[in-house]
Amino acid sequence: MRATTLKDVESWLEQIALLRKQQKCSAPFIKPFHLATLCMMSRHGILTLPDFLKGYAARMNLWGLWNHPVPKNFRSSAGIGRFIPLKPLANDKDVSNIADEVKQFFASTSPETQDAIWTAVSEISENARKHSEVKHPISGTFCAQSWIKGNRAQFVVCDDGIGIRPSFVRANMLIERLATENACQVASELQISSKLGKGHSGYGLTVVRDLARIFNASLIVVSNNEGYEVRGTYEANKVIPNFGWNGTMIIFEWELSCNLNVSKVYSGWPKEEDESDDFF
Amino acid sequence: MTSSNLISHVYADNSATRSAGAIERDKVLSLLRTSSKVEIDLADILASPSFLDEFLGDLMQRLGPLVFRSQVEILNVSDATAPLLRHILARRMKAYKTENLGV
Repeated sequence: MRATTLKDVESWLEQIALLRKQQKCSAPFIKPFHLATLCMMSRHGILTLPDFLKGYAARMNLWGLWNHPVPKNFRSSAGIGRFIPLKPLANDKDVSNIADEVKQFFASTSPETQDAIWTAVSEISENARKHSEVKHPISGTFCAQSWIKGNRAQFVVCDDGIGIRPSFVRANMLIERLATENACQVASELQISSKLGKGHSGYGLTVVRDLARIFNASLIVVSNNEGYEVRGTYEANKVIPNFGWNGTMIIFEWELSCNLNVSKVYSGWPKEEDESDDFF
Repeated sequence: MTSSNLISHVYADNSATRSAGAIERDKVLSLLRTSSKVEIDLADILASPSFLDEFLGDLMQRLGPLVFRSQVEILNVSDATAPLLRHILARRMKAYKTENLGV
């Protein structure tokens, strides 16, 4: 089973545009990111999905999240299977509960991997809550799936908020850099946050990026029309054609056989001048 | 102020978020109004960077490194958390120096 790429996400956003216009679309292999994007699109009304998507959408709670009626002959899942259905990100407790549920979901992996995924989910989910500026109690959504035979797992956090670049612009930050650089990539750097010094320190996306770099996992960040991906030593960014997608999507995918370890991420960060063990 | 040592275990049922870290920080600040020292036991705690930054990083920045060292004792920091905590406290010390000493 191959890793999801930024190109896959771009193709899907194009298909979503087609779905909006003609109520039809195609996708070769449905993963959580497909459903998370559909979920955010469904906020303002019921989507008419092609039949091939309805079963998976029902299992992933696409209609249930917004209290929309589930199409006849399809039932929302009680959460059975190798996936975590779409969850709302409405408050702090949601973030904590989702992180704990994900840790449980991956209980068959090493304790270090469970802790790494818990940390990544905590940080990315809280970012969606705090940075998206969505004027609705539900800021965004989370879902995950694992494929035992394919030796892969994916989680996605998605919101339909203002996006990374507008968040920096609104805070009047990094304007010069953003004139020439990709906002998603810039936001993944350590100590970069649109709310730096205002109760945020810019750790979240860096943790996930560095997990992808060190453990040959995949991070894909798509925000409005910008995309950035990391897969081990490979990194790329691009401008995505305007398919009408607004919001931010963070996709993390890894091989189940790989032992993720977040302390290796922390150890790899540049040393600060006054670092010591004097405090503990 | 009494001279008794109080132990503040991190009982937070949420050590995932920055907001939860702020709650723990405020608990410690409250304890320090009546105690000369607070011990914070991190045994078996899995905490996110944002939680620790808001809890212990911000606590250090508010108290300053000297007061923090003398009044706050952090116990049972796991090998996995130690590099993160070192980083957070160093960054916050730098911020404290910039704010208060103009360094």
